[in-house]
Amino acid sequence: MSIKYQRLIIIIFSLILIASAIFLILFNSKKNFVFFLTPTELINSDKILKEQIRIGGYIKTKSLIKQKNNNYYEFIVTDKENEIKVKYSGILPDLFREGQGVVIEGKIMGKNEFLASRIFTKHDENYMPASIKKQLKQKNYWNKEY
Amino acid sequence: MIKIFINPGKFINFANFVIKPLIFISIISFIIGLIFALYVSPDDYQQGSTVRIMYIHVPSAWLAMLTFLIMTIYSIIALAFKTPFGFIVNSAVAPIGATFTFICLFTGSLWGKPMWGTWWVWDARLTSVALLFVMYLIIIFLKKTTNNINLGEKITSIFIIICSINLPIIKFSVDWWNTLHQPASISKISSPSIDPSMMKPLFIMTIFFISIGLLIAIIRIKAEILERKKII
Amino acid sequence: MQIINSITALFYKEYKIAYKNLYDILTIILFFLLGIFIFVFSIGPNEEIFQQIGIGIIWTLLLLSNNLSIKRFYQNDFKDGNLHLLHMSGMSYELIVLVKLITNWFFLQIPFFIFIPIACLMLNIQNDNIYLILLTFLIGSPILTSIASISGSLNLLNNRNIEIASIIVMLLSIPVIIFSFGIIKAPPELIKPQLSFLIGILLLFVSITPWICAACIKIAIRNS
Repeated sequence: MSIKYQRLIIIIFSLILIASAIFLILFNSKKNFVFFLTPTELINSDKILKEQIRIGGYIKTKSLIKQKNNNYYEFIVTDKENEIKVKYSGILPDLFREGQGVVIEGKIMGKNEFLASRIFTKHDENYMPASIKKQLKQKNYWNKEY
Repeated sequence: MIKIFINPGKFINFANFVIKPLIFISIISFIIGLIFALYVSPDDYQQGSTVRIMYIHVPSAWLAMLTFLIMTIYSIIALAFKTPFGFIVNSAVAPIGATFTFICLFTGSLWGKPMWGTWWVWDARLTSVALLFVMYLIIIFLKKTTNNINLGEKITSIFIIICSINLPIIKFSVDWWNTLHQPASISKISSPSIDPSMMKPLFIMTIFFISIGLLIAIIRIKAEILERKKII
Repeated sequence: MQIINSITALFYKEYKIAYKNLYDILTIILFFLLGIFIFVFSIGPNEEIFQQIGIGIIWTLLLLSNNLSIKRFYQNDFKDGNLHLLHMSGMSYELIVLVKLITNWFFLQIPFFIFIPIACLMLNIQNDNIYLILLTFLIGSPILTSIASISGSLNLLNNRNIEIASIIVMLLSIPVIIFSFGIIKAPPELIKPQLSFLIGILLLFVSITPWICAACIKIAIRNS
C-alpha cells in the first residue's frame, strides 16, 4: 500500500472521529462545568450538608436584614421559583443591593439555609446613564424584573 | 490590492504610506477618547463612576482576541502557501497581543474588586483569557528555542493553530456556562445593550486601540523585513 | 500485505526497546509514588484533608509524570535517522505516529493502573472514587499520551530550552484535568454527560495528533 493510500485512510478515519467528537461535545456542553447552582438546582440536587459550593440568584427585595456594629447580614436569594436564606458576616461589595444578581460561596447549613463565606455581585450586560434611569422610572417605563 | 498583505516589498510601500496618518489618528482618537471617557460620558445607573474602566478593558480584550485571530490566519496562509511573510507577521505581532491581554486582565481585575468584590475568580471567561496570555508567552518563547530561525517559525505557527481552539471558548464561555462575568453587550448589532452616550467613548477608544496596535505592528513588521533583508 | 508486516515489525521494535528500558518506565512510576510521599509530608497526616484533595494530588502527579515521557517519543528515532528510514520503507509519518501513540500509551500509562489504587489507599480515598479515578484515567491517559506526543514533536530540534515542552503539555492538559476532576466530584446524574464530553475531547485529540506530529516531524527533517 502506498503512502498516499495510507494517508487517505487516515484522513477518512480522523474525519469520522472529529465528526463524532463534535457531536459528543455539542450535545453535552451545556450540562457541565458549573460555576454556580441556582436555588432550584440546589434544592433538586443531593448536595451534602456543609459542602463548599457556590449558589447564584437574585436578592429578594425587602429581605435584607442588617445588624449594626458587627457587619452581620441576612437575606434571601431567589430565582423566582425557590428561595434560600443566606447568612453572612463580612464586608459587602459596592454593587450589593436588593434586586441585584449575586454569586455566593459557602456551606449548606440545612434545608433552604446557607452560610456564606464570600459574596460576589454580578452585574448584567446593560449599561445606562443614571439620569436616564430616573426619567424612565418617572414615566413608568422602567419594567426590568429580577 | 491583496498582495499588500502577502508580499513584503509591497507591504513596505504601503507601510510608508500609512504610518503618518496612523500616528495622527491614534493621537487624535486618544485625546478625544480620554476626554469622552473621563469627563463627558455619564455615570452608570448601577456601577457609578467605575464603569469608565470599561473603555479600556473592552477594547483591549477585543484586540487581544483579534490579534490571535490574525496570527492564526497568517499561520495557516504561511504554512499552506509557503509564504514567509506570515511568519514575519506572527513574530512581530505576538508581543503586542500579549500586552493587550495583560492590559485586559489587569484592568479587569481592577474592575472586579469594587464590582464583584474580588480581584480574581476562577470562572470560565477569566480562566480562558488567562490561558490566552500564557499561550502568547509560549508563542514568544517557542520561536527562540532553536538556532534555526526557519524551523522555529514553522513550529510556532503550528502551535498557534493548535491554540486557536481557545478563541471560540473565550467568545462563547459566557453563553455556554453560568459565569460571574456578564455576557457580551454588543452581540446584537441592531440594539446593543449599551446606551448611545456610553457607546461613543467606547467606539472612539476602540479606534484608538486598533490604530495604536496597527501602528506598532506595522513598525515592527517593517523592522523585521529590513533585518531579514540584511541577513540575506 | 507488506504494510501489515512493517507495522508489526515496528510494534515489535517498540516492545523490545520498552523491555530493555524497563527501568526507565519504573523510574516514572517511582516519581509518581514519591510525589505522593512529598505531598503527604508537606500537608501532614490529616485524613480529612486527604479525602478532599487526594484526587487532585493523584491527577496532578499523573500529569507531571506524563511530562517525564516527552523525550521518549521521537527524540532517539529522529537522532539516529530511524524515522526517515521508516518513511522511506513505505510508511507515512502519520502511521508511524499512530503506532508510536499506541505503544507509548501501552507501555507508559498501563502500569499506572496498578499503582493508582495503591496511591489511593495511601491517601485514604473512598472506594467509589477509586473506580471513578480509574475510569477517567482510562479515557484521559490516551489524551495525555497524545499531548506528550504533540509537545515532543514540536520540540524535536529544540536543544536549548526543553522545559518549554513540559509547559506546553501542562497548558494543553488543562481541559483534561478540569473534566476528569469534574466527573469525580459530580453528582451521579451528571457523570454521564461529562464522561461523553471527555470522550469527545479524546476523539478530537486522537484524530488531530497524527497530522500535527507528522507535520512537525517533516519540518524538523527538512531543516536538520
